[in-house]
Amino acid sequence: MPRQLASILICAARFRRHNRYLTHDTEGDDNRTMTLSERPPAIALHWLRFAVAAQCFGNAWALAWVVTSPLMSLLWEPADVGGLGLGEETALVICRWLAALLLLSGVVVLVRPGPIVLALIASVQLLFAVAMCQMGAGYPAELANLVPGIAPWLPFETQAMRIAAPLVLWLASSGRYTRVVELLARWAVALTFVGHGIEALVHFHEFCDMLLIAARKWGFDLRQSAAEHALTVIGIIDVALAVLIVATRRPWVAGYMAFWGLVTAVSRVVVKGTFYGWDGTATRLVHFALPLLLFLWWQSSKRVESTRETIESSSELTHA
Amino acid sequence: MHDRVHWRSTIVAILLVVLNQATLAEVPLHLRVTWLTDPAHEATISWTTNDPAESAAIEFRQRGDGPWVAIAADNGKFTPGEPDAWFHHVVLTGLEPSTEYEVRQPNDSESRWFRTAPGDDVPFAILSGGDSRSGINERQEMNRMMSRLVKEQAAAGRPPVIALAHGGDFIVNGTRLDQWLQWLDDHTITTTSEGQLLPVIPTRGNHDMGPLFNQVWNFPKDDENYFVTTLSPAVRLITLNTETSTAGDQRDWLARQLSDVRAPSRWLVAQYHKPAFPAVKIPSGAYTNWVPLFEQFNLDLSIESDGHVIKRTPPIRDNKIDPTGIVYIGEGGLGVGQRKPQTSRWYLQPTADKCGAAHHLHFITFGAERLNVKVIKLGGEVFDDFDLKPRE
Repeated sequence: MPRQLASILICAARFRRHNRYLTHDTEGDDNRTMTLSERPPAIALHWLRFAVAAQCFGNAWALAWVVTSPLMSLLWEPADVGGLGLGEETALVICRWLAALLLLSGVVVLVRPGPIVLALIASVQLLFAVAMCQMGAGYPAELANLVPGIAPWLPFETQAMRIAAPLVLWLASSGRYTRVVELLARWAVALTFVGHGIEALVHFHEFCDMLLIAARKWGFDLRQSAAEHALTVIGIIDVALAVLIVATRRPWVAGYMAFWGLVTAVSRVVVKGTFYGWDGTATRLVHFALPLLLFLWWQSSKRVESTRETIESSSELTHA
Repeated sequence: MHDRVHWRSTIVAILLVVLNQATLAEVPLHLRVTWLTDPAHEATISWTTNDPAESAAIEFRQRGDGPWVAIAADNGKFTPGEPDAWFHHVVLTGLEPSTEYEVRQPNDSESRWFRTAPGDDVPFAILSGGDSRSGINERQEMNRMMSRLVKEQAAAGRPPVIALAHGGDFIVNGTRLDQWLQWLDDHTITTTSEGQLLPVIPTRGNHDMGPLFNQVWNFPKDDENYFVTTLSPAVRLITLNTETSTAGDQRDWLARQLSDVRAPSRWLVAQYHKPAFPAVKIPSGAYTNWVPLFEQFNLDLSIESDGHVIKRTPPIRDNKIDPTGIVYIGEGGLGVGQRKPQTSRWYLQPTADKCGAAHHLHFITFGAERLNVKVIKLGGEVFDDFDLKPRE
């Protein structure tokens, strides 16, 4: 009996400590058993902060060194093909200034992220998506065969996590708008997975080549038809997970998405090599960090919830 | 005053629409020749109308006074896209090499003609270029220059220009039929004043997405657009597609083709859109998946597009400058705005003065002793001129 009493007291103490972060958010079937803590765990925010900084560094490198991007096209291409017609020199100057700004923003995010810099990063990511849409880049030719009118809008889905990640970091760090933060993160993850799922389902040739080249590097003889079958499976899983992450709060869903986000990010370095692939990996680290945030957040909330239930049932037992 | 201007523009706009419709309705447009695998013996003749014209046909004969032979066309509607337009294709087979053929619409008094590829090992030339997707005025000027080059070459008794190898990015958005129709309109400018058509060997570029590409060039619906063109018994042009998997079936096919055609070809050339050794952008899948095969089978010349610059690399093998390596040229100047090449890249430093930013095409002459490449800028200035020797 003293041992039981002691454990109840310890649980009560833990509950009190976490209670400061509890809200009364309820939604979906899982929410009957989960009360969302007010702020994601610090470790999740650290990962997200690192990923947003990496995204800035990757983008800065691409803008300054690769000198070819949908934004560059938007700036220099003539107006009759959707561009602003600023000329190559002016476009390069703008891109390099933007690269410098992103580089600086990345450092600021690592040192002391603030709302202005995070809003700026989100705006730049949104600008990239707009440029992709405007210039008809950022979607697979395979999709143009199927739905030519809709295909140009795909970048708003595939880029959703990159746009949302800085905003989530900003709002989550503030400790307010819990509901908004969670919704934003869930929908951004879902949209990106739907976008990439669609690309996989139409057997986007770049995805296909990633599988084939990775297999070749590791000594497997993978046929194109097998890679395409694999992409079909990957696409179905991506879309299913996207539905699950907005419909329910299951940590394993977010956990798998984080794992897959990391795999797809790292695949850029594996396939293209460090020099040509690192920026692709860096910009995609948010595909790992944002679902990871949801995973850790939901896990910790679940732990708090089970602690509270233990206390409540123990209290009932004590009363009885 | 403002109202008057408004009404005047409205009337002009209506007239333009009516005239455009009338033009499409009354005259079959865009008569063109496409070459794929065996241009010494086969050619596809295509044209466009704005009605289904199920009985559409073409008449052809060897150039001269022989009887006309009518052949029914395969017809189809360009899908998707506006305005309504129909494509018509006739595949002529069993042709004689190095022979001029006349084609015309049935009972039309006016005909056009083209020359089939040589069946013997004789010198000839092709024009090569890509990225005609924007800069309509420049595109039309380049086409005028092509027509002039074809004519001048014939008049001077030099090796004839037999085709245009187009490196892709014909138009901005491959799903826009209006842009394809505009391109096809502009391509008719390449026809000489004597009525000689310039056959096209098409490459798919990243802007040529969607099903219209295959409809325009008479590829089967789901064709992946890679093929070998036997330009003569000693010359083969391999057209590859960077807009589909470069690591899978296409790579396996390329390995087989290179193995088969290397020995009988004095000159073996490849064309594809996205570069392996880019002057502006980053390397495409061609670098990882095809370059090792090019080097293994000693390709002679590689023609790239997409970067919108003039480029020539030194011979490259195993990521080093090597006299036994492959020269990569490019990168698309048939209309699109030109960019500044990044000549600080290791593979462009030795040939930095052979790189530039100007609308251009490559004039490639295949001879017994040498393969000559000239870069001709819009206006006719020769920017670069170099020879390759046959491999031992």
